[in-house]
Amino acid sequence: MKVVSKEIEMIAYFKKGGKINPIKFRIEEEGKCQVIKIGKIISTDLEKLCGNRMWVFTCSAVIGDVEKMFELKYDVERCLNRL
Amino acid sequence: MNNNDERLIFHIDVNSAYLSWTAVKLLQYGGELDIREVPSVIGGSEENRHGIILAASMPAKKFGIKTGEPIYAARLKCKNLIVYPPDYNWYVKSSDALFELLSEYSPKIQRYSIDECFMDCTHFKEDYMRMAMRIKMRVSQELGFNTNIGISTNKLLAKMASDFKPKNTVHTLFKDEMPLKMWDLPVGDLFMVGRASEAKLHKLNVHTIGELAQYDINLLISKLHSHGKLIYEYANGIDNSEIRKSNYLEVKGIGNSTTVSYDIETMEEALKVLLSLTESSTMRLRESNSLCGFVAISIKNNEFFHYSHQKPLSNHTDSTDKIFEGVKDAFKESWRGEKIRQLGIRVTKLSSNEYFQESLFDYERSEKQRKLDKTIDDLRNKYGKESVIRSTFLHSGVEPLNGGTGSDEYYPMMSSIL
Repeated sequence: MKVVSKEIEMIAYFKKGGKINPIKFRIEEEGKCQVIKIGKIISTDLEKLCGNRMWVFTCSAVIGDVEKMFELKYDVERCLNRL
Repeated sequence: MNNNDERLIFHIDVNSAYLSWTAVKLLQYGGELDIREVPSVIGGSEENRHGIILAASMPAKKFGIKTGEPIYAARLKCKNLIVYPPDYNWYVKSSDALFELLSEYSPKIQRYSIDECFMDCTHFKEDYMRMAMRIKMRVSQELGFNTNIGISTNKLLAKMASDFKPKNTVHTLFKDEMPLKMWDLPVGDLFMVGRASEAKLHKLNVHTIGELAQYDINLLISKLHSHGKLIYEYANGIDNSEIRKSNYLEVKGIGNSTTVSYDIETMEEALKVLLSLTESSTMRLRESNSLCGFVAISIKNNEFFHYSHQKPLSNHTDSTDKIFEGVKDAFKESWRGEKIRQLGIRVTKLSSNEYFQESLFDYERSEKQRKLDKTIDDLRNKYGKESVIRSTFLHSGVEPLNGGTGSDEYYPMMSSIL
């Protein structure tokens, strides 16, 4: 799996209990902007390495004409989305 | 293996703590390189002359790189050494997470330092090995770093056990295992035997811990006094200290020191640095609701010669201004006029601020001063340390509040009391 490791802009909704569901995000690569709509959330895990909490969403989406798998991370304390 | 009335103590020690924690941070934020697997170190910045190594990875240790040596010396040993800056806030967070996880297993737990904990696990006596393995595995999986767990019947032996190699393992050191596992080690490996005691012991022809354990105790006491008795007991695995809730019961003083990025030559500059150290120390003093009756300063000159001087204050106080008066006097009395590399201050003889002696004549003024100090502390806590600074620091190149390593000021880096 390619590591992108970038901060991204993200649209997500919060369920009543506070659970987060990512919907779509925008990524800039080589000056081009691409919006990717998330097809399916495969799993949601809470990672707390060194006590630093991050929600890890394993998702799939159709990019171009291919369905691809990727991981999104939400940094709980700094409130940042990462790809 | 152990009697029924004996305790069972775990000592949990994070392997190369600072380095592991930085490694985990880099990985969590998408880094591809695990710096634990390449020659790397955590070190202060060389430009500011804080350039010593705080932690080294295992591959770096293979080059002979040790904690505490200057970065430039390490670079000579290994050309492609990678140096990362320390991140104290992250380390405190990691340490808190470890403590929280361990708290699930025992109510009696002592945070010995930022990366070490003692735990009373007498209730796991039946299957302590399995519990230790489980704790170790959970820390690795959930928190992402490796630990050594030392198990024995007291704190000293547990701590000795967790130092054993290989790393990332559970080690035991019960009393009957001492001759086999501990006594062959060089005497310098024993807790509380530093370089000075080691040299003295070598003169007495004591080279291993076992030799120390079988030495004549009276001779040791005559040469090394009470310390001789202590290390003799330690060599024999005798230690009855309790697991303490807090390491700070015996806080005797609060202090800060700083290595300046250039040599200080004038009184004015030195006083500025001292003032900035006083500001941060007195803030901590007030935070702990204490007053102090003594101030001490320490000076290290550009030839690394170190001396200190202390001075009693006329009244117990927590006022920045009054304490700085004492610091100023102490400095003026002791400074020999040479170039200064490092300055430190320390306030001691602490007492609670519940009751204190007012001096008769300047009651009103000191009351005003207390209000002012409190307001400034509140402002700094709310809006950041540098929200309110003394005008003397403007454009002076001296940090207005000096010393302390982020929020970990409250964790002792090292302690000689078990």
